[in-house]
Amino acid sequence: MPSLFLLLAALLAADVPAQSSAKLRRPLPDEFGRVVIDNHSGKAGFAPVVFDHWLHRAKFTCRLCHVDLGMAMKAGGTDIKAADNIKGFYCGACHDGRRIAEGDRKIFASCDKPLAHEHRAVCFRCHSEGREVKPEVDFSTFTRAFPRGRFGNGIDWEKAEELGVIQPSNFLEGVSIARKPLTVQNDFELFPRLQGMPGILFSHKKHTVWNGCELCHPEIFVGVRRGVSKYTMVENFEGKFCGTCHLKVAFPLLDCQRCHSEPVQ
Amino acid sequence: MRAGLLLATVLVVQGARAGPAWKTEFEEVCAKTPDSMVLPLEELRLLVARCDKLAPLLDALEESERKVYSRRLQACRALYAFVIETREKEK
Repeated sequence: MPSLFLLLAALLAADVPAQSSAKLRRPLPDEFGRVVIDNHSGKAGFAPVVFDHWLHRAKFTCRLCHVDLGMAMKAGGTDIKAADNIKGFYCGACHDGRRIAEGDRKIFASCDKPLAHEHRAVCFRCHSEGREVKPEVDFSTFTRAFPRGRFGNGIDWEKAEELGVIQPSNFLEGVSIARKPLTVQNDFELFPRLQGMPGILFSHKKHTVWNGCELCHPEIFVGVRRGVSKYTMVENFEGKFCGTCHLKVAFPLLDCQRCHSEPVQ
Repeated sequence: MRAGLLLATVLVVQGARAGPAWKTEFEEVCAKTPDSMVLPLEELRLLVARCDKLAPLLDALEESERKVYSRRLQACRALYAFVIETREKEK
């Protein structure tokens, strides 16, 4: 059965149009989930911003940034400007030079004021595409105690949250709305079209820990009832539906058995 | 005169604490998304109407605030509308 999975995954992955003629390289664990943002940086004389999801997702839920901070789900879709950050929106909501992270470490300010070239090292912490910038937090050291996963960052983020190794915050003072805990919807099984393929148990509980409701519905999934949204693995590999997250940020689609976990019908 | 000044100061301080009226309304309206699946249809329709009433006020905000809050409002309105539609289809 694993060989069937791998064959299918390889076929589907091969079906995705490549962005260039060069062979696509699988990202290294610390590169998985990396987003390069270049809406305005180039025009302002800066390198594009390199954002690594792994550090942020260990501390915050997806919902916090993609709902409460208003970050779009596609790179470049938010149209963040330096002025937005300076005024305390988007990255600037946390990166304001005042907010304290774990311990007594101050979170550095993003785009806080125009700086002379010799003082721009702080800018290069984010505007780092194509530059040799040493990250403040080392991936291997940071994730040493995390449960291992097979693909992506090589981390089982779901288990890390479940075991309390990470406690992603879902609330940002002054930004988030105080809400009651979410009424979790039931898990449900999805039946694959391909005969012999194990079924999928979709866990609302696991997803709502990170996403809430409005991150997925209706922007990504237009149906709440099982069977309303019809989608294929090809569409997932094109970055639609599950592929919106499970292609480049959450555990990748190549990790078939994470979803196809039910006995074959 | 002194009492008037004091009252004005208190009102200004209270206003500043509570934030602008649009923000209070935004927070009230969008705080109910976690309950959207269990809210009665009438309440969901009312929430959508409140979102629609609030949207033009957000359009008038300065650019950064407008971008963030319009997107947030759009997300919660879309969720409420989506739950209404789904329930109506189920009937």
